[in-house]
Amino acid sequence: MSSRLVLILVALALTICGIIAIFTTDPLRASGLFGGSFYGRQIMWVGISWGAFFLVSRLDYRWCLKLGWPLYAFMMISLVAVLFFGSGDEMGARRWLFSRSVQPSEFAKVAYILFASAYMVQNIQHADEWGLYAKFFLLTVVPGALIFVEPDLGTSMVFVALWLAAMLLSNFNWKKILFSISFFIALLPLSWPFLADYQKNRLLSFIDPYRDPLGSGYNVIQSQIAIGAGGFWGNGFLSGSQSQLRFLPARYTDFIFAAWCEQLGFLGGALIIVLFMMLVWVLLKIARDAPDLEGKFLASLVATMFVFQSMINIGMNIGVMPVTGIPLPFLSYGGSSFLINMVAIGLVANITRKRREDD
Amino acid sequence: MSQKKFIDRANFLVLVFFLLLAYIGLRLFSIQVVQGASFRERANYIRFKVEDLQPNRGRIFDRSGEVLARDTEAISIYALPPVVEDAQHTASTLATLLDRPENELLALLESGFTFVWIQRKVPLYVAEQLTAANLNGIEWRRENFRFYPQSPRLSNLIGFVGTDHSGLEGIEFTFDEQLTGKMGYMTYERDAMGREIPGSTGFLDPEPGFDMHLTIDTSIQFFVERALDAAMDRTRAKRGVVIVNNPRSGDILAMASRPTFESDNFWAYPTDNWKNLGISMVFEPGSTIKPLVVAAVLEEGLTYLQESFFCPGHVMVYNHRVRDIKAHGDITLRNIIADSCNVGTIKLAQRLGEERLYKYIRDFGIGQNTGSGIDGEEMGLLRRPQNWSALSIGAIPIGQEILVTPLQLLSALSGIANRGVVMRPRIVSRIVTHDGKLVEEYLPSPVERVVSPESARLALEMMFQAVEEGTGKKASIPGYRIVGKTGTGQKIGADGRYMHNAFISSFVGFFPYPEPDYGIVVILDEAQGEYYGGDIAAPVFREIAQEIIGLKGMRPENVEVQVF
Repeated sequence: MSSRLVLILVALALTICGIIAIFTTDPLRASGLFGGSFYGRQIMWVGISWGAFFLVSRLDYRWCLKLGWPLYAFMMISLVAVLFFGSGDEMGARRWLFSRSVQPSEFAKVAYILFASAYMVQNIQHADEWGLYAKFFLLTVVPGALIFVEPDLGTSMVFVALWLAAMLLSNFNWKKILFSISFFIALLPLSWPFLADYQKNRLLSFIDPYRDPLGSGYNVIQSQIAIGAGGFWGNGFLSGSQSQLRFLPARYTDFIFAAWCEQLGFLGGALIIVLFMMLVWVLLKIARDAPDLEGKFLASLVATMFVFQSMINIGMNIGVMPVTGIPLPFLSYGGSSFLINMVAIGLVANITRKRREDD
Repeated sequence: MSQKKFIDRANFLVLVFFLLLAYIGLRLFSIQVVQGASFRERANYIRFKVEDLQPNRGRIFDRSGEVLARDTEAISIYALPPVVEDAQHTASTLATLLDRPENELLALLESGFTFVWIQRKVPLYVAEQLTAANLNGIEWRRENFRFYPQSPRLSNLIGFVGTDHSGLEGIEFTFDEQLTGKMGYMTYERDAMGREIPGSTGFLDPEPGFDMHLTIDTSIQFFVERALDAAMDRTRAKRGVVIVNNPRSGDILAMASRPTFESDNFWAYPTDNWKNLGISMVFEPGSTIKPLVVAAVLEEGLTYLQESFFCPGHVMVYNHRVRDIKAHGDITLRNIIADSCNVGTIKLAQRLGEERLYKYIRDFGIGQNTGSGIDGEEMGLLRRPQNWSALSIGAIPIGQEILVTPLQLLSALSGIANRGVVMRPRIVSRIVTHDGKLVEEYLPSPVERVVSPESARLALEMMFQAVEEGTGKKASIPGYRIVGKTGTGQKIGADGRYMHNAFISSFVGFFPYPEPDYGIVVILDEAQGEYYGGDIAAPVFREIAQEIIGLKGMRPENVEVQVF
């Protein structure tokens, strides 16, 4: 079976799981497929996104990579625009443009991946030089900081992960990478005063959820109870008091994994984890088999993005990661997130096409 | 950069990612499979709500089925001030609904507490108005409240329940177990908002408590309370008690105590007012117990009706001179009671001797629990002869050195009115389930025959004399034959000596003679001004007796019908 087919099948399996998960947690399920229900809207986005996937997978990724700098510029403009014209959500986070229809930070992830792949490959001969390290750091930290102040801690963490992965793949010295990791770990306590109150509470609640069981700790507690109550076999499709009776907050977005596990048990949860493992494996296999370094970078960074997001999200659902509001790729409700994921998959799929053509 | 190098690093990346995901998977296994059961328990705990369902407390009825106490449903309104959105608007809406000053309610809403009671015992229809008003942070719950239709009448006998609906005083306390009933519960499944999920409820219906039927006659009680109130005003006594019974069955028909209170508003009164003095007040009865001594002496055959005594106004007991109220001179046995002669009574008691005097007085129930079954009943005091001093034989027959309760006194003298048999006072006649099945029945029960019918008849005749022409004249009602005995006991002060200005005035009477259906005891403690039992207690008796006569339509016997 070709890597391309595996990639498409895994993405398809995750897509189907996602629609089922949203259907089971949909507060507006009763209003039907076209009646404004969440799962109905998600199905529409799934259609659009898969269309985009086929479109992008026909687009030459090398051409896309040439757009690295313009994409970077566009990303910066949109992120600055959010800063000034963005619309906020209930929590006060300004993450959207055009009254909550476009979330530039989602788009920024793919733009950054394309830019970083192109940039690192162009400068590969300077790899491991402090000059490149400094330039690449600046080019990452500026958009990362813009996203951080929205505030969107989760996505800015994705940027850090992508940055580290890019350096690792560019053959930067281990010492520099370890230094960078320690730098960010050291940054954590220093960033404390800049965190919003709710972010501080979430971090404290990560350490002890029962510090504020009805406030910032509530999500984590309810989510863990939901997952735990699912047991090995689960409570069954559309059953499970935590998700069906709405104890579980954000059950169709950030905590959809918990709702999924309550209904389908460890078997269902393990299925999702295995699917993500397969996705990472096939993406990295495509990277290794890619005909050029840009393709290798592109596929590896896409893999990094998916694995990092799924790890953070599932980790937060089961209480081993702090609550940071990263959606679970393919499963969490959200149009632009799903679209970006399929675009990223499409870019990688094109690498396999390229290889076939080269062959 | 070589392909080989990249592949090494990419492999490293794969390894790291797989390890991370595997760790997540392991944690998932731990939560779902290893700790699954405990989490499921917690999910159920969150999900199922158990609510207690209060049973209705049993009702209390009088002898004719009149309700004396029953449960009524009402709502208790409370506020969650932090949730209240517009305190001003909320306060003004509540002010109109509850008819309370707006600023008072506003102060509650702005108190800063997370929970405050707004008002309890609010009629049910207000709940609908509150629902319609849709005020955030104003909530209520249905509660059972105790309703006493006769209050403040009978409060001292029936007692009251606390906020937790358990009996704290009187009948409510004594029979709390029977009245309480069994708690039920309701379980339901709820969603995150705490809303009940339709169709998920499970019930165990509460079981209402048992109903109690008392021997009390509400109509008589009404007159008793009214007469006692009037007497308290007139005499400015500190405390007062009236008990009405049927001497032949022992049934208590009315029982009133002053000071008093309202059962449904008990907290507004000092705790002393809650006492049922009819069973808890102890005092030296004085002359009211003399008929018991005379009956005993007659029973023993140590005297006869025409025997004459000489009363010089005092008598020597051991080395002590006991004084009488006056020198009665030559006095027949019959007049000893009528004139309440101390000297004659003591002489009779001396004939009996200590042992027999003790036995008879004890058998009449003095210093014994009457067995009324109401908690808080005092025993009184009657010492054993071995503990008597040489003077006791001169004190006990005239009602000193002993302590009685009003009920004890009435019950003892009822033994004479009931042909020598003392009946156990009966207040509760039967206990039934809420749907009328008999749980327990208390029948009139004799305690003991103390003297023969003949001795009792003679003693009763002397008490008739006392009302007709003796100290109890003020109890007489023309046309009706009434028997009775007055008493005036000096109170003992804090120093253990008799006080010269504090008396317990009493009257015990029965009618219609010779086979009385009603007995009444009147006790007034520390009346100001006049203090002779015959002067202040006897008129209270007469007032009540007159009302009972009217109430029961008793016809006069010895009115001479004038025919022209």
